[in-house]
Amino acid sequence: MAQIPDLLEALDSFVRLRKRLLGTDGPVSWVDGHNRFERRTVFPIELDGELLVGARLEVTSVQRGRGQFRLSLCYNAAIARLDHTDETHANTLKKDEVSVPSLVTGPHYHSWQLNRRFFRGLSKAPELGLAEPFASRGNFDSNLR
Amino acid sequence: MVIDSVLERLSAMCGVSQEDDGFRVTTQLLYPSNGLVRVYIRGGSQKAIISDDGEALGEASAAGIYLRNPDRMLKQFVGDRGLIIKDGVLFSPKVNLDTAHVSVIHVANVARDIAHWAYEHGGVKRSVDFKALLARYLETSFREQVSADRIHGESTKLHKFANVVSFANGRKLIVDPVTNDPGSINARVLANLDVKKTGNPNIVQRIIYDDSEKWSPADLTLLTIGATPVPFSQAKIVVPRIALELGMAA
Repeated sequence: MAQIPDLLEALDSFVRLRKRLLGTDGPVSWVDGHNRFERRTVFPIELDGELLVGARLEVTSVQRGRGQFRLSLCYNAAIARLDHTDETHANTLKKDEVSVPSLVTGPHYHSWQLNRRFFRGLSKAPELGLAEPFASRGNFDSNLR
Repeated sequence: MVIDSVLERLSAMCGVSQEDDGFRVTTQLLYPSNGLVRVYIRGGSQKAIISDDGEALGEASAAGIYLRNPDRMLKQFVGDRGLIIKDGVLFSPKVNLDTAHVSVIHVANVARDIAHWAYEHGGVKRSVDFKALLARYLETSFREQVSADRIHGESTKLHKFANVVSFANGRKLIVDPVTNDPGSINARVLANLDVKKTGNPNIVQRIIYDDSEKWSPADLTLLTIGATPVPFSQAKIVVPRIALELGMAA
């Protein structure tokens, strides 16, 4: 079994390397999320010519508010996430060397770099406890660039 | 108005803002990824319904956690706490406005508990990953010697195995992955047991289980009925050793 440090190293590479989303040039199919306000679609990820099992980008639309969505970079579970919502996030778990505001209201980004210390192995979703403000660039497409 | 006194009480503890169809209360409770739990108050002049608007389960889906039929999974948990869940949305029954501030706190706490429960018990898609990793390792190590194969059991049923290593002397090594769910365990134990009961000395069997997951002692014991279990972390040591012994056997 790969140990946590090995997995962290592998995920560092996964995040750092250039990846390709598959299926973005065809019609996108949306499915219901876990509640009636959400719809979700998933794009597999190719890395070095191989489609990685468990690696995907999940796009979730939050229909309660206009222009609200989430992008979850998953390797099994989400390891980084952009919450383009009006929610408030509290950085109660930050250490001194991390420079993020205590409270972030509005769009925020749970980067892998900030949250890798919460990783608990591939069979558990890491609690992405830290987030930095995300400067919105307007509409959905602009934010993806 | 009664709602004004409710909002005044809540404002002392939480952030309250007006929405198109009611009020949003941002509490001091935290979801697993440290978002503040929010609930919504909607209703008339005397009664109100408090809801999480699906945000507890939204927290889970944002984490890549998959729950099959969450309404059914959570119905009892939520019902025991006097609340309702429908279409992934947690809400209270109609409550009197003069006690709505207490219901707000209650719904927010249950919403937080649901999200934490999902993080601990919800699934992340992993099983395919483990089987693919094992198959890739065997293909790299044994190349054309390894393939999927069908082997008769004592019952005469033909069982399919994803990875069978074949040797020139006619011997075969079954390397059978099993994941930690009842369906996989039962199917693989049964198939291996049926083959084992043929007593064919040319067939050696091992069940490989994913030891990065938590296994109960009872389930590990059950695996031994089918074949000798090997943790995936040890497969790279154990499988080549057995293969060497089998390949050298007369």
